[in-house]
Amino acid sequence: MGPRRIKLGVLADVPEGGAVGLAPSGNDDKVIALKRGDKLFLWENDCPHNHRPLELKRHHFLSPGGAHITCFAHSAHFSPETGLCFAGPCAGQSLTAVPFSVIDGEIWAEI
Amino acid sequence: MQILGLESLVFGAEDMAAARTYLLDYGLDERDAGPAGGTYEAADGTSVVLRHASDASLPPSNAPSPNLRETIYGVPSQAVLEEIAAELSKDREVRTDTEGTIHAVDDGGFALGFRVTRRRKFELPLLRFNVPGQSPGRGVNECAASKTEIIRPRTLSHVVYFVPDVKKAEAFYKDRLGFRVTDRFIGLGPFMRPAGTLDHHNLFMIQSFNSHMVGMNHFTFHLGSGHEVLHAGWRFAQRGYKSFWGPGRHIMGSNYFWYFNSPFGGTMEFDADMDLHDDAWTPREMLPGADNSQIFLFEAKDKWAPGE
Repeated sequence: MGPRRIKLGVLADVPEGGAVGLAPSGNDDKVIALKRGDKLFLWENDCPHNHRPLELKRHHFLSPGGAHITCFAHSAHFSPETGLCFAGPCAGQSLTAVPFSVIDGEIWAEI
Repeated sequence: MQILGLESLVFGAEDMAAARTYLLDYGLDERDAGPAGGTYEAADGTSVVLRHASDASLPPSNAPSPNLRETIYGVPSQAVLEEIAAELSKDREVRTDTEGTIHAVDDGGFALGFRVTRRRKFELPLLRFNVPGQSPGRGVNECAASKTEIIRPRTLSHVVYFVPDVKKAEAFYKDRLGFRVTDRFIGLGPFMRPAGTLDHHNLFMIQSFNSHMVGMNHFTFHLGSGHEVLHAGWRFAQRGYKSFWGPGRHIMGSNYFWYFNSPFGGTMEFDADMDLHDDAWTPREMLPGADNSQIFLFEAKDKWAPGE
């Protein structure tokens, strides 16, 4: 039996160069989705510093200009492509990747 | 040394539009807004000053931007201002600007300012509660719950710093500026109040344990009541802002709290109903951690009603 899959959304809803929150649960989106070029990246919305959601407001995950993922609690900065925190209180740690597949334009998390 | 309390916090921001919207959504009044930034006031005129992080008029940053760039305290008179200038001039540069505010840097690397207070007296509707066994707080037929209630931050409450050497930082505020320690988290740092206020703390300092724990941790204004913290925080969350911690009530200070992520490099809190202390108070010491950080903690959830 292969991995269980949960549908998180559709690829077309993730803007190129932007970020969106997916997998709403209670008050929080559990997953950050980013598209860079033709590549999709999914990270758990859980800062390694205090294990709280990162965004300022819903879907507002990026630094001005959109180059980095920012945790708006204490300004940890992460690479969108590797999830590595390169500045801030959890520097050297990483966001946790969410394994996924894209099937017919739909994003499916593998759990 | 009768320092009255916080007068203004000056921030260097990166996303000016998001920062401005955030401060307005928090409930502050905008003054002097322009390309360079703006001033965002509580009811008594205490404020957040917003500037771009690259603004050359700001003191140098001691943390990556966005972050706090200066903390300005109010004093009752020119005489006290001169007393502070004389004290700090003994071992550091003290600069006086064209408005008469004096500027220096503390022993933790934070830029400090002092000015004769510009706080205003203000009148807002009395907050009144009906309590069995006491005289009614509200009039008969007067309703407390209102979807259109206006909630205004009343005054700047406190700021929290990460500091490289908490003992040195504490000694500076205690010995040089006359602050009192009200309580302490063992191994983390002291809650301090200037001599001119009874508020449990205007300043809390946290020992930094790595080179990335720098700058400001959080700041807040006092709202009027625990109810106002809940209602203002609820509205803030409805606007999409992300709750960091709360709502709850702290033990040291007894203040109701609700912290939210912010564009200022740390979190911003809604706060109300803080304890008052004078010099008869014996500071407490507690171990840090969840149990001593709050007497209770809740989390908001969507509105719901039976049958839905």
